[in-house]
Amino acid sequence: MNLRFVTRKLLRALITLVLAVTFVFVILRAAGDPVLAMLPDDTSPEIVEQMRQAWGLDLPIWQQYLRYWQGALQGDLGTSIYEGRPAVDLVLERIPQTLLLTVPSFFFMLIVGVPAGIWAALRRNSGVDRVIMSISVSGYSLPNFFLGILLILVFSVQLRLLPSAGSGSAAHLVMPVLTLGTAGAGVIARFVRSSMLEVMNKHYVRAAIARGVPRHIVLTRIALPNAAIPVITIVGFMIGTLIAGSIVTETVFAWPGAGRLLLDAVSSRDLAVVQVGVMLIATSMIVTNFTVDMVYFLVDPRLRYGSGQGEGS
Amino acid sequence: MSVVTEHPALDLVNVTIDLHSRGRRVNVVDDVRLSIDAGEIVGLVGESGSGKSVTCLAILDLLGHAFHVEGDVRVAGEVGRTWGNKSRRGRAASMIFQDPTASLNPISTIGHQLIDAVGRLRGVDGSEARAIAIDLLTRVGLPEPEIRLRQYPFQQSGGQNQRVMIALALAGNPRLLIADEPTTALDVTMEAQILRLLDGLRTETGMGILLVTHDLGVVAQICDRVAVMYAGRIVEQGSVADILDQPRHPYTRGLIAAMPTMTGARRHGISGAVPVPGARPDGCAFAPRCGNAIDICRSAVPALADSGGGRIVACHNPESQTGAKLDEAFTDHRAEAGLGQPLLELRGVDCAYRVRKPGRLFGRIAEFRAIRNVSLSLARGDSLAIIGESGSGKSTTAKLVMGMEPPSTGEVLFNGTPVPRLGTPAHRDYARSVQLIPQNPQQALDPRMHAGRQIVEPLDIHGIGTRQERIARMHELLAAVGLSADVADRYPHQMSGGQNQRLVIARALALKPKLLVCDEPTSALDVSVQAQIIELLDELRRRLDLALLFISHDLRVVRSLCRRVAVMHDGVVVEEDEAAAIFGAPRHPYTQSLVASIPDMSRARSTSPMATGGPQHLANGLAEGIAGP
Amino acid sequence: MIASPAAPARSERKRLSARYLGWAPRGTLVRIAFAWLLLMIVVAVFAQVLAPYDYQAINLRNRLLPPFSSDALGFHLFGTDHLGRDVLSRLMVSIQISLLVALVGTLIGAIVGTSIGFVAARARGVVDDVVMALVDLQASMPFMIIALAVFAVAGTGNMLLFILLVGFQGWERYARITRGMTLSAVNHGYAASVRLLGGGTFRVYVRHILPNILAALVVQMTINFPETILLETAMSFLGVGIQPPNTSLGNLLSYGRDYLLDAWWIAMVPGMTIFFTTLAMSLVGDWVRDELDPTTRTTD
Repeated sequence: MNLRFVTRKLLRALITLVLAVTFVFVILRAAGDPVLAMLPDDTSPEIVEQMRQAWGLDLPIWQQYLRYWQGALQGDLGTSIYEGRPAVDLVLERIPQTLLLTVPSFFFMLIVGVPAGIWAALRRNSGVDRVIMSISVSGYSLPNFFLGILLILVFSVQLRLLPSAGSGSAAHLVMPVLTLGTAGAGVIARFVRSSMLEVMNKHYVRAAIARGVPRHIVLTRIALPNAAIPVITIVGFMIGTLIAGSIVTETVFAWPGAGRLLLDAVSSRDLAVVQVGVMLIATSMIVTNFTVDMVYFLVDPRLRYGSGQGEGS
Repeated sequence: MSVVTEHPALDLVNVTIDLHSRGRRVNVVDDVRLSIDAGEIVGLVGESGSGKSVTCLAILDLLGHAFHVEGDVRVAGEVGRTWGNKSRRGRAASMIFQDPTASLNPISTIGHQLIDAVGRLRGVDGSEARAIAIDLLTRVGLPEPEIRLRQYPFQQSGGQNQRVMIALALAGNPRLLIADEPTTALDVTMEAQILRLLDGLRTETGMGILLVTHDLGVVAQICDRVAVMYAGRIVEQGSVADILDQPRHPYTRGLIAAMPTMTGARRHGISGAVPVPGARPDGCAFAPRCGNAIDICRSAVPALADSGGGRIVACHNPESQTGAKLDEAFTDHRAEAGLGQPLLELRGVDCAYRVRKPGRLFGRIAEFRAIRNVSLSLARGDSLAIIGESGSGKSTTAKLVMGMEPPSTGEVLFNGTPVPRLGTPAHRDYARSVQLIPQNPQQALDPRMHAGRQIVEPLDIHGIGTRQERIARMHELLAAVGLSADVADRYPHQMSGGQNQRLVIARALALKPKLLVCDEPTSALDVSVQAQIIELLDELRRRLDLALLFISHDLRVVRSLCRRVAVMHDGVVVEEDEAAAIFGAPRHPYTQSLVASIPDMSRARSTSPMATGGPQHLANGLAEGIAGP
Repeated sequence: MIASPAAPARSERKRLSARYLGWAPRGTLVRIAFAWLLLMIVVAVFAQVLAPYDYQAINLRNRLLPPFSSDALGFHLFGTDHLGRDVLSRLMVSIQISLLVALVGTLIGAIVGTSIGFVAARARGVVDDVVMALVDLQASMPFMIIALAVFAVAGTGNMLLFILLVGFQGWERYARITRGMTLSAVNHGYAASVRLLGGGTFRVYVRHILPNILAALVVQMTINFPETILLETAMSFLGVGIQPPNTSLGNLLSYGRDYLLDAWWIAMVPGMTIFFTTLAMSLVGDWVRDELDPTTRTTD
């Protein structure tokens, strides 16, 4: 077993996490005095000074950095200036709603994208292939905010079938999930198709056919598992786009999730909430990437037994 | 159970293959007739583009829909794509390929792949399939088969994987094995072992083998008969002894002349290239490259004529002389060199790299000594070959000479002064005296620069000549390396591998160097082209009084080119001597094994007992092979 | 040439990438895409001249006029919005801003990323490690989140900062391409050969590596450009991008969202414009990729 691979990836995840937290810290400090940025312009200087001391902003920068870490590790990342409650609590409350939106979208993306890509690859150059690829390229060229509006126009305004805003029922979920998942499904379909085509041209597929392995077995047991390996990366990447997309989608459909909270916090400059949101997203992306690496590790024996292939940075 | 079939393993009857593409119908293979008896090995020889691979794929019905096959493909007497009522593939005929490691599913264990094949092709499962798998691995000569079953292809060497491929092919007890360049990607020692294995198996199982290769040395070693293919047609066919001793078709003769031989005779390439399907000339496709071509060759396609003894030739004007010695006597045209003060000298050179020790995160730095105590010298106009397998340190030696690596200890001297490091001002001047011909010309050329500009560039760098003079010199160099003037406006990817290597040589010669370091300059090229490049280098060496340091893994390539040979193994020069001595009487055991494992036409025919094996002695072997479970 | 059945399939596949919308012949579709982009460029450059009305002129008596209607002032091809402003005029000015942001942004990303890549490849060692760690960090974070974090601190409404920030999107891909191609050329490719001929650093980088990388960078730009448009319009849509009185396609769409019931055209017109532009850019990008790949080009 090649544990070096695992430790290296773990270490890399930790370094990225440190970099991400540092990035948030630098942004918050470099972009000006956060106290001034937060408080109304007519606040008296005494209160400003009080706040600065309370936040430790009068300390040398490296001490501030350490204190920042201390807070981050204890889950204490400040208080929302509007709600007056800990920012962490505010964000965590909204997470279930966002998951309710992103998790089905994720599966929608896979369930639509993967079979479509395989189908297109198997029927290469046929009408089916062209239709699938046309939908795919249109799907990821269509901005999600516009797709959301189009759906509302058709299903809410014209057909009056689905609610255009809010959450609570399964019907509320349909349009947001379509909005969020379509682009990803398009990208995955295209990627699965090219990955399949590439694998089907490999020597080992040709050799298997030459020694009489039936076509369906070549496809399911040889081509598909090999084609799936590079797809794992793109799936990990799509999780990032889902997170970014959820901000837009939640706004379009007035969905009460964490994405809209983050956006509102940005507009109202509620920095405590923004930093919690950003850190949470960074952490989930780092976890996602690490998971992707570990899935690779489980699927690809070349990594497990360390032939060094596919380990490039 | 003992069944002796009267059917040949393979019978191709008037097989013609067309490719339909973009509404055009292009003939790829034309009227091929070829038969292989049970237990017989037939070589199918030709340059790339001759149609031999397409023919093989047609036998297994592996061509895509774009290909249209006419004529009969009979495997063990059965026409059509079936065997019994199942697919022919794997059962009647199986195939092994050039790159064995890439031909195995990378994410599945060898056991999984083999047991699966056994189960499917023999209708057994569980422990029985496993037992057969182990038996197959033993038969193909893999020790510790139990352990192999748990391994992945990437954990094995290419030779071991080729054995696994053979075991997979044997799983269905085929009557015909198609081996498509099975040893091309392997080291010479591995090559000899795989060929011996194939030779043993045909006797043991009685299967016929179609061995596709470009290497006549391989053919001489194990084939009974050989068919030479050119531009989609079989142009000559007959027993190995007949064809190799007395080739009648000029193309066959050209191929033989292009082969490097143990006797060190000069090699002669065949000029020109195989015409692309669809652009084949009227009449005999070989006529444009043929020295014997007469008028009728350009208008009428020669028919295959039987000249007795199973010998068939398609030529209007075949070679008539029967006793012509192809291997002209070896005259040492290099004897005059090698005198005087050494141009290049390595004195007790060590070269160590620092590498991270594997298995540790912040790996401790370890020293890896690539070469140890190497001393060599090379005089003006002389030629020295460094021979070794990968990892022997031969490439490191080249890097030292080029100044790309500094020696850890010892000295690398050129004209008595130490070789400067690459990137120093002194190296700029050094570059005018020493140039490198790398292994892969395509990589060494800027893909976005016209050929002409690439040749002018060194003159530009060193500020030599005016614009007109440079262009004149460029044309001079193009002519010197045998390139026509019109390639000056082409990009590297619009030229063939051989043309690119000529271009690289021309660029290197622009500065009038005194020493050329050639790092495997022909290993990426076709055989007939290889010979041309070797010929060119030899000619340039004599004409320009160049010294050549020639690095190669192939002993035969250097035999005809270099006066002296140094053999490297594990970073040490194990033997250095005149080429004739190395080949004639190798002293070091490693050199001996290298020399012994070379497939060579002349030696194989006279000494190898394998080559005498033929259809006549297969009766007992056949019975065993068919009595599979 | 016909070495295996894979050979024709491979070239087939290359062609195919450029004709996903395969009903129309490949050339036609690319030509339509080009024509659309050309139209967008003309509109962007001459927006002020071409616009039939002042894009900010409010006319409350003629609110929410549907497309192809006329009022006292004249004809409104795409109707009017909730303040009676001419949608076509607003669209033209929005195209100008959106394309400008995307173009400048793409150039910024390319220049910054390529420079960083060169530096990393040339410096190696610690610098290289740090750059690659940053590249990894960037690649693993949706860029929009980073942009939002910056705006939260700096405040919205600064157009220059917005363009700069949008431009940074994708820098890590340019950096990675530049670094990778430079290292491979220097280590065992043509650049090594030029050095052995005596060529200096300047010649190696400027005469050889840059022209070779340029093609890959242009290809990357064709991928980046639609992404930049989408990022800008999405952020403007969310209200954290271009701010009034300036206008972009995203802003228009965002206003249109509030009037979907009464005036679908306010959202549809900018929405379709964004869609067609990114689609056209993707198609042209595929075509450019095929054209610039020197290995597929056999004749000049």
